[in-house]
Amino acid sequence: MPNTPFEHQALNNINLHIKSGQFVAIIGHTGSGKSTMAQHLNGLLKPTKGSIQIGDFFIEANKKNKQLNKLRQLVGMVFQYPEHQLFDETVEKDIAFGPLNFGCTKEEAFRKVRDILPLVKLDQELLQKSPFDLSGGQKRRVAIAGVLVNHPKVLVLDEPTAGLDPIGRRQMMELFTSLHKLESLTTVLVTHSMEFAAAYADLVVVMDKGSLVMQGPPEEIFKFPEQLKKIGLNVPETLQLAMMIEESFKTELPKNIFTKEALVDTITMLLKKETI
Amino acid sequence: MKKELIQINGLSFKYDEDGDEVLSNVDLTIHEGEWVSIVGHNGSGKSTLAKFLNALLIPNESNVVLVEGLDTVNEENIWEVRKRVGMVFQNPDNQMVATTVRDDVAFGLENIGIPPKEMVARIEWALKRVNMERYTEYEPHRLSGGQKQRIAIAGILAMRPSIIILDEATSMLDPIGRQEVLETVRMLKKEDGITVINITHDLEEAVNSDIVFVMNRGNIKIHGTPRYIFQQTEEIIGAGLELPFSLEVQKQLKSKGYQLSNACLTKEDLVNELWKLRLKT
Repeated sequence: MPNTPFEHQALNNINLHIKSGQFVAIIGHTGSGKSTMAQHLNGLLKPTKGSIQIGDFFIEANKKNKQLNKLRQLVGMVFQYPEHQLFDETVEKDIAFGPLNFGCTKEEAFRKVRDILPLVKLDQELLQKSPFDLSGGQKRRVAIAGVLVNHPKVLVLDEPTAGLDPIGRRQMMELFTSLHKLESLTTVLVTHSMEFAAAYADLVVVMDKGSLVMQGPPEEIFKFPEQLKKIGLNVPETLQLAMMIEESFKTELPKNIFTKEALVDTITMLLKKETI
Repeated sequence: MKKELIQINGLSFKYDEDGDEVLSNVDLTIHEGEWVSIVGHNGSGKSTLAKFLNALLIPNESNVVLVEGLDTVNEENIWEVRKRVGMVFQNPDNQMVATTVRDDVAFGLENIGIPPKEMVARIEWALKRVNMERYTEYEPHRLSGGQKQRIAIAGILAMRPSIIILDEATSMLDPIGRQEVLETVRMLKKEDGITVINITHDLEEAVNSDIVFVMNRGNIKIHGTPRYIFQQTEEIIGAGLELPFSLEVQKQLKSKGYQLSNACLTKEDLVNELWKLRLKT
């Protein structure tokens, strides 16, 4: 809100290129500006300075944008706790809301709804139920279906696993990685989980106090634990343990240990080497 | 023997007459000064159980839920029970009620009619305990998630409770916020002797507790020390939970033929055990 008493510079001179098909993780602690940045990607917020290009669309400071509707079809946005946005009487109507808004006929919209269900692993039988009678996990899938049904090319996910239990979390992330491949999406994941950023992203973007402070592939970013700790972040647990082993065993281990499996392999190799 | 603070005898509950039982025949005893973890997946009944502990839900029969000897079925006891058992909920934004931090902490005290002079003293004390005394005049919505949860804890502390229940109170926070909240509660347990009941689906948070209750389908499946519980791998996975990081790594090492002699609850444990294994070979 520029020129009001509430003015506050939330983002500062961000330069970022995301290639088509990339899986990008934006990390940073609460208030670092990561959600604010994500909301610029589909024109929910407009820059007060600078510009954003998404495909053929330009969003520029101080200019009116006419085609935001099209842009929002291109860039799907899953907010935190998406199930809080469910509103309609039935699951079918709730998911169809987007396509109807973007000009589909009723038949077309409902057909699209049926086509999208298997993608988010929801059963046809749920279509006539009220979304409010579903379990938490199902609600979230319905809300996500409501975004995917518009077939976006870019999917922006803001902490999509918050509040889920470990199994729900894993299923949700598996869903997004498979969608990323199946639908050839460009995915932008806003998260405070270093583990997710390391395990899923090709490109990690680190935010602090509204500025972009680092960007690169996970193995480059997580080489700098001290810098990350200074801004309230850390390296993934797997790497934390690897670093503790390095110190205790006075040895060097690879810097790209981002899954438990990779960690276990590294430890067994180390133990084998030691016993020879 | 430590004093029994909470006793639950054969508690069953359903929200709907013809629905499924959310809790079925739960027995539970919690002693003074303990750090108790109640773990389970979403929908296992753990939050419902918590609501019985501070009389948000009331059993149908007497002698089923007793808090410091007070039977919650008895209406005269309800306010006393709620004074003694404070609860921090999941979403920090849903529990801020006032426009300044001070007023927010004052809310509970006003409700129970504490005289203003004592109120001021209690608020000051409570905010100091959670390390938020510099934020007295702040608007709660401008604080971080971890700070908001600490304000919620201060609001409870000011009521001088004997028990604090955290109902998934860290699940919406980032790692720093989570750390802040857990550190604060740990200190309250240590220095003020407050009993802590932490309800969570994150077993990592249960590592440092005195006793862990594992819930599944409205039932307490197993309970015991973290060291005991975490060795019941089948039960934990059966309850839809994931082992803490170090134990999961230990389990995978075992499947590759590397058996460590002790259960590794923390990363430090794991490094030590690996070191021992190396010395042996």
